[in-house]
Amino acid sequence: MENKKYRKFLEKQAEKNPVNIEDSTGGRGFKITWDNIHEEPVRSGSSDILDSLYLGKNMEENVTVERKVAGLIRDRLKGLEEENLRLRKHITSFKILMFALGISFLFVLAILISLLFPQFRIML
Amino acid sequence: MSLQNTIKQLEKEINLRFVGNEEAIRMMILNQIHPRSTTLIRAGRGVGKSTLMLLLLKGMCGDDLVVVSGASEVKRGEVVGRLHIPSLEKEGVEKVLWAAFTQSRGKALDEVNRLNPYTTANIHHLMQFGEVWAYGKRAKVADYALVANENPMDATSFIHPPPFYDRFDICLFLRSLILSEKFQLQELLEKYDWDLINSMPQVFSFNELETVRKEVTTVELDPSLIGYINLLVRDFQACVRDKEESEIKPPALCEGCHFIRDICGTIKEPLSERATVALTHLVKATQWLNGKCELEDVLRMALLVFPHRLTLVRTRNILNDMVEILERERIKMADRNARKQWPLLNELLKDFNRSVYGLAREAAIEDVAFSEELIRLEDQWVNEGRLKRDDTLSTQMGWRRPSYQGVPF
Repeated sequence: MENKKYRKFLEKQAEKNPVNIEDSTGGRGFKITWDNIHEEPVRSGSSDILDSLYLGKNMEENVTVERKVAGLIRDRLKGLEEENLRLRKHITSFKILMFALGISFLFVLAILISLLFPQFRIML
Repeated sequence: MSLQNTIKQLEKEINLRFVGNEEAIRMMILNQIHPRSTTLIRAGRGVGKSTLMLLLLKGMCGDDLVVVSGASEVKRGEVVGRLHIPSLEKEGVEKVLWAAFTQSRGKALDEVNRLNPYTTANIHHLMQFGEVWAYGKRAKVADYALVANENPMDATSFIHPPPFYDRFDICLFLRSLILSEKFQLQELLEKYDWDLINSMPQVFSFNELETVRKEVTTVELDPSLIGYINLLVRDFQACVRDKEESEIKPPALCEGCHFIRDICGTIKEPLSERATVALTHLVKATQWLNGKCELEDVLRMALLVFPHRLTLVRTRNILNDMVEILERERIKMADRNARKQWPLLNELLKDFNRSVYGLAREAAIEDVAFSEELIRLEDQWVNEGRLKRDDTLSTQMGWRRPSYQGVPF
């Protein structure tokens, strides 16, 4: 037994958003239609994408972005790409330096061993 | 002057003496026009909590007002009642002298966070049952207006239990004044001879307020409005993993849940049904005072009805967090309309229809509150032999109503 006000609420909603239910001729179910299937929820303005990016707030299902904000994000991405390239170059040169230092260290170690333990000189 | 204008006059008189926070004042007055109203003002030190509380109570109750201050030593006799010693000594009869606080129409609790747990328990009982007990005697408390204030940042606080705060209809948050408002305040103080409270007139009698309260109680709300209130509260309660009874709470409880990104995933301790009652009172008051109330008004009221009743998974700034969640709720309600889920449910309540049921199932996957209603109907259809248990949404998604041997709790 449903509450009267609950039924009334559903009926009111059905009046506001009517659906058409037609018995299909083939006898294989019903045809259900309504207008504005892709009716978008009303949004007051652009979504706060910057808040979600910088403050870690949750993003909505669909994100709307203002031109100004999009430009800001594009510039920021460009800056980050450049920074990324610059850091990659640094990493490569540091890798080479590390490799050279490693080789030099091994070489120095071998000389020290040969000086301290003469029996290794023959082996080296 | 009509009763509506009398209430609006109170708002004007307070606004003449209190700078800023207009929305808080408006909501505070709306909350006074239902029986046994309780209001909590939560703000930092020196923002005007006590001033606002006293202005309101003076405007409604005049001198029939008692302030119990948590900052002073409060004894039981001062809040509830004490024994009448001569009666006990001469006649051997335990006669209770009820405290002025229980008998006054205007009840003010200053710095409620500093009240000791025993006093708080007595006030809790008063707010819950409308009565007080002392020495085995009971006294009914007549209709009243109770306003409390607290500074949650105060280091000398008692931690009161959540059910105590749940008894407050609304919680107002006051902000400090901006530069231009500080000038306004100084001007006001000079105008009222540095005594804002004593300058406040009694705008109407408590009897008039009781008449208004009776009228507001009889206001009939539109079923859509009642639906929005119930739906809003349910969205802040619902959980397919039954978080109310679960020992594990979100976010741990939400791991792997289908609705992890939904509003339910942001709430650790859900709302009680008192939130529905408080919201209904406010909606009725708005309807009575302004002649209309929209969904947007309900959402704005929820901002003051919900924060002190729930715990969020992550709280940075409770008001900002609530604004964000309510904005998501507004979109969720619009999405529900776009999916036509309530008309579909309306059709299914009339009769089971497999095609409509198919669409309703799709909608239920997007909405916890709707899925609960559909699952309840599924149980009915299974019992009637119209649907196989294995074909139901509850079986396939593993969302079951708490039940024992098929009988729901």
